[in-house]
Amino acid sequence: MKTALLLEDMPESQDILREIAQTAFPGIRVHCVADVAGALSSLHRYEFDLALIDLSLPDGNGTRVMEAISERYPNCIIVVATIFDDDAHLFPALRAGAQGYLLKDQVPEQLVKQLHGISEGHPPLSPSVARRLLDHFREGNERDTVGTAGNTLLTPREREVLVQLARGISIADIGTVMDISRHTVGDHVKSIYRKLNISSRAEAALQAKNMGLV
Amino acid sequence: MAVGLGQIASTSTSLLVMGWLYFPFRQWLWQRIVDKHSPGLESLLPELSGVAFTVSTSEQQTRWEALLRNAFDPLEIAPLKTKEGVTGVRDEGLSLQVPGCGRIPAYELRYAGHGKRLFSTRDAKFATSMCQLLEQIMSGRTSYERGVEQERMRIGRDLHDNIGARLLKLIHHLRDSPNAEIARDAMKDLRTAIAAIDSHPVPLKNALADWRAEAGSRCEVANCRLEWCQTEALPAIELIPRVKAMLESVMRETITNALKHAAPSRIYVGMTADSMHLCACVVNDGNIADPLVWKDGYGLRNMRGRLNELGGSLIITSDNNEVRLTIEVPLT
Repeated sequence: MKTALLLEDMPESQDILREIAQTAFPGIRVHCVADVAGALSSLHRYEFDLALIDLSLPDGNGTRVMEAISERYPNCIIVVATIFDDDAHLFPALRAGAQGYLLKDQVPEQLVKQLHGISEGHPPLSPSVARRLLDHFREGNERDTVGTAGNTLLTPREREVLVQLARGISIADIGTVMDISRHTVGDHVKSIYRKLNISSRAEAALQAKNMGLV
Repeated sequence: MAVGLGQIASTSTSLLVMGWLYFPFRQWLWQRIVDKHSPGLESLLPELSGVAFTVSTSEQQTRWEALLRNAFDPLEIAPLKTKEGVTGVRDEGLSLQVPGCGRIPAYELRYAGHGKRLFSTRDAKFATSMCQLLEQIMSGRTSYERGVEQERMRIGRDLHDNIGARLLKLIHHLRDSPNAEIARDAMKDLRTAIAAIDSHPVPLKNALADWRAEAGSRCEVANCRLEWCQTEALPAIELIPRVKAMLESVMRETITNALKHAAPSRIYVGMTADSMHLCACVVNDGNIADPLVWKDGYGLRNMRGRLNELGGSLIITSDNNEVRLTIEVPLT
């Protein structure tokens, strides 16, 4: 990790999040902006490999920035920094390409640990988001309008992980239940995140095609 | 020719008498007999608004059927599949088609007044007025609900933007001081409160999942092992948002309590539920003080208050260096 974008409008949170990024990745350059417009214009000037993004900003929603980043820097790790972990807040962000989220009110050490986890591909997932994801992929299976079925359908293992997460079971305990390592459970979660983003892009493309835009 | 009238004159007279006197009289008499039993629109109004405010579609349909029976007393009544071509009187008065409104389908009624009379155009007009009225009351209800929903969203947003942001500022300001934990708990309670603004009931199994995940991540931070056991086959019960929020705060408080006072190495949570009760048993080890000497702080008082409100109970016992909180709440 060399350069990070930090989009956060509250100075106190900006300080803490900058500190957390620097503790997690020593030597990283953190570029701070406080609104969507600032973030979008900074995308032209720097190349980011990490982005910490707040969702509610004075001039709009952070998901717009996420879409722009995942378009421009597909390898950049996008992390939502929020105070709400319910599906209504997070689901749109995950669809826009976020690979994980941090709850900003947590203890700083915990935040550092989680940021490490996300960058290594072991993101957290709350039960409500897991339930929403299950619904999403179930509907996807039934409709299969996306047309990229192979890329967007969950494997039986991924589905099982999601079912366990929806029941509130921790990643460590899921490993024990499924008799796989914690690391492997994390890999499945990462893959689920990725598939959600792919499926929503495919949906958007299909919609554009149907509307005669492409 | 006894009365001295010509053939033409007598025919005309009898026609006039029939037309102007006999038929109106017969009609008047008939309506006196028949219409005495048919209720006016005003007497149906309370029932009509009852239909509009019924939540479940099937119940709404049942009540509407009852209302149509009451108004026209037909021998047969059946919902129609199509909405098209639904117009008033048919089959020369044998049947009447009533348009649908909202989620209520159109209906066909046959044999008015228990088969004693035919449907008239007046009946058709009456039915149409009823439907229009119902539609008006329904649309009033819909906009009321939309208003409530918007207001809920606004309150949620305000809580999120104002109080959430301030609490976060406070948390970041306090950083590692013990008071930061109080602010963190307040933030969790705020999340719970905002979720409770949502009007949808929550299945019990989802509520348990949320509580388990929260307890799990808090125990992980505190280096404490969480053992969670719950009834395998949970009853298919839904908790209304307010009850879920109250129980969530209680569960949160049990974990806070254990982590704060006992520095436990292990917390066991046992959840059992049937269709009548939910029972939560929270056990922890660690530095246990005899519950008899516990001072009821804010947390315990709060827990007891919420449980009282739900008609539940809290029992605290200790033995073998373990403390056990047993919470029971009725689910009906």
